[in-house]
Amino acid sequence: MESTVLSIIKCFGSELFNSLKDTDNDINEIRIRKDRPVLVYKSNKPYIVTKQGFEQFSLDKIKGEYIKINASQIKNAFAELCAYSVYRFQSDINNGFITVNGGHRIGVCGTYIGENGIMRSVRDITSLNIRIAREYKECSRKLIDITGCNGGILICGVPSSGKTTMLRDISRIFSTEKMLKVSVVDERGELSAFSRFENSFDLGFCDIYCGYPKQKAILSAVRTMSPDFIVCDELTGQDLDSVYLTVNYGVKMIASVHCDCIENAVKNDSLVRLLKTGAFTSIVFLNGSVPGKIENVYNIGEVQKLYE
Amino acid sequence: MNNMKITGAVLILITSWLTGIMLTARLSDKENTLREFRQMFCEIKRRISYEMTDMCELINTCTVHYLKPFTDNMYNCLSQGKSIDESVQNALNNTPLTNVLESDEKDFIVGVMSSLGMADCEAVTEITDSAIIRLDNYIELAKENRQKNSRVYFIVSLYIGFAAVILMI
Repeated sequence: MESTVLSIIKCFGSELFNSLKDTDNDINEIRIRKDRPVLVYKSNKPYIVTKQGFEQFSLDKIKGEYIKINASQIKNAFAELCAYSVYRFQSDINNGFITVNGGHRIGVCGTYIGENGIMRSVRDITSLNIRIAREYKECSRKLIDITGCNGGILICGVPSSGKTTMLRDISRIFSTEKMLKVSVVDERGELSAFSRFENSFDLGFCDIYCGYPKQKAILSAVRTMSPDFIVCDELTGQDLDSVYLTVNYGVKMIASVHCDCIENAVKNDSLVRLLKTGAFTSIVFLNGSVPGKIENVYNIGEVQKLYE
Repeated sequence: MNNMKITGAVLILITSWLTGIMLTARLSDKENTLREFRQMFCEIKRRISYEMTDMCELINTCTVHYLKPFTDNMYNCLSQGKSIDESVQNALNNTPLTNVLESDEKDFIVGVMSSLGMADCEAVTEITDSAIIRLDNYIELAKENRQKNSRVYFIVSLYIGFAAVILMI
């Protein structure tokens, strides 16, 4: 298993580390819940972690000998994952996650602390979901061959379908082979896995806006970096103004959104509004069962007929 | 014979006088160390508030020169994956300049550093502010202690010296 993943697992104690250290690289997620069995997900299938390794999940296994993590272990591991600098991750924690070395995103679930409706922090963390980030070079080659590099691309898929991996590879290919100026808006630090001035993933010659809110990064990029493309992960309806901005400045956009199929995409108001901006000429759907696999590629003209 | 006695007496008096000075210097070492920790907490507060530097980086690049052996030791421990409590404890115990601190002062520093690692931005400001106030108290106490005891150490060591001279003669 990759060293950054092993260093995450090590934070939860030697028992879990010994069980998982020799496993292969194809784990997608590790789910840790207070006093509950640790589960790992391979190809979206759950496995229960035992002292000997992990086995296919079934309710009978819960009665057997499994590895569980208590509240204090979660608390200590969380502090260690934050490199004993929880303050640095505060805004991310308020958004429900932290991104650690290697670009792995850890979902955080606990008790809300807020004041006047504004979230301040999370205490009593009870669940952590470690999503393992991977770099699959050349995974976007087929997509680039189909769509070319003349217009914006919107990548749609369910969680863990490989949207971020695809964006990462497109950024690399466009900025190196095609010699295009690419600005990457990496709000959550997942695309570049930027840590202490080092990028864990190869993003070629991209200009990386790490940790910026999307609106600020897009505004800065179009004004100062003269990009040909802006790459952006997980667009929402709130980013509509920023998408319009890129259209007005003549910058093409490659972005991802959560959506499973074209039928649901055309029913989703915020997604339709994004498509109506004219920023995207191709809409790609990824196959949820196999990360990075393309299910369908639509031209904006075809999609327009469906929502109009 | 008399010359030897006089030389011996002078040597004893000088030794006792130097012992007095050394004991007094130890008291001012403590005061200085506490002042440097105060400065370090001020720097931590400023850098966390404005730069959001992570703890490991912050300790590695701390500009409080006098505490360099302490911060280097702590950084090494943190880099080896030790917890923050362990790292501070280890650095405090293995750095000669922090040996002058009392155990409650050491515990206080360990407590502050580990709370900082778990705190959000607002809490960092509150923790460092209260740590600075507490350190001011420790410094004030150390200063009073030094002023009071340095005279005592000096006089006592000289008296012991004189007593030794009289006994010898």
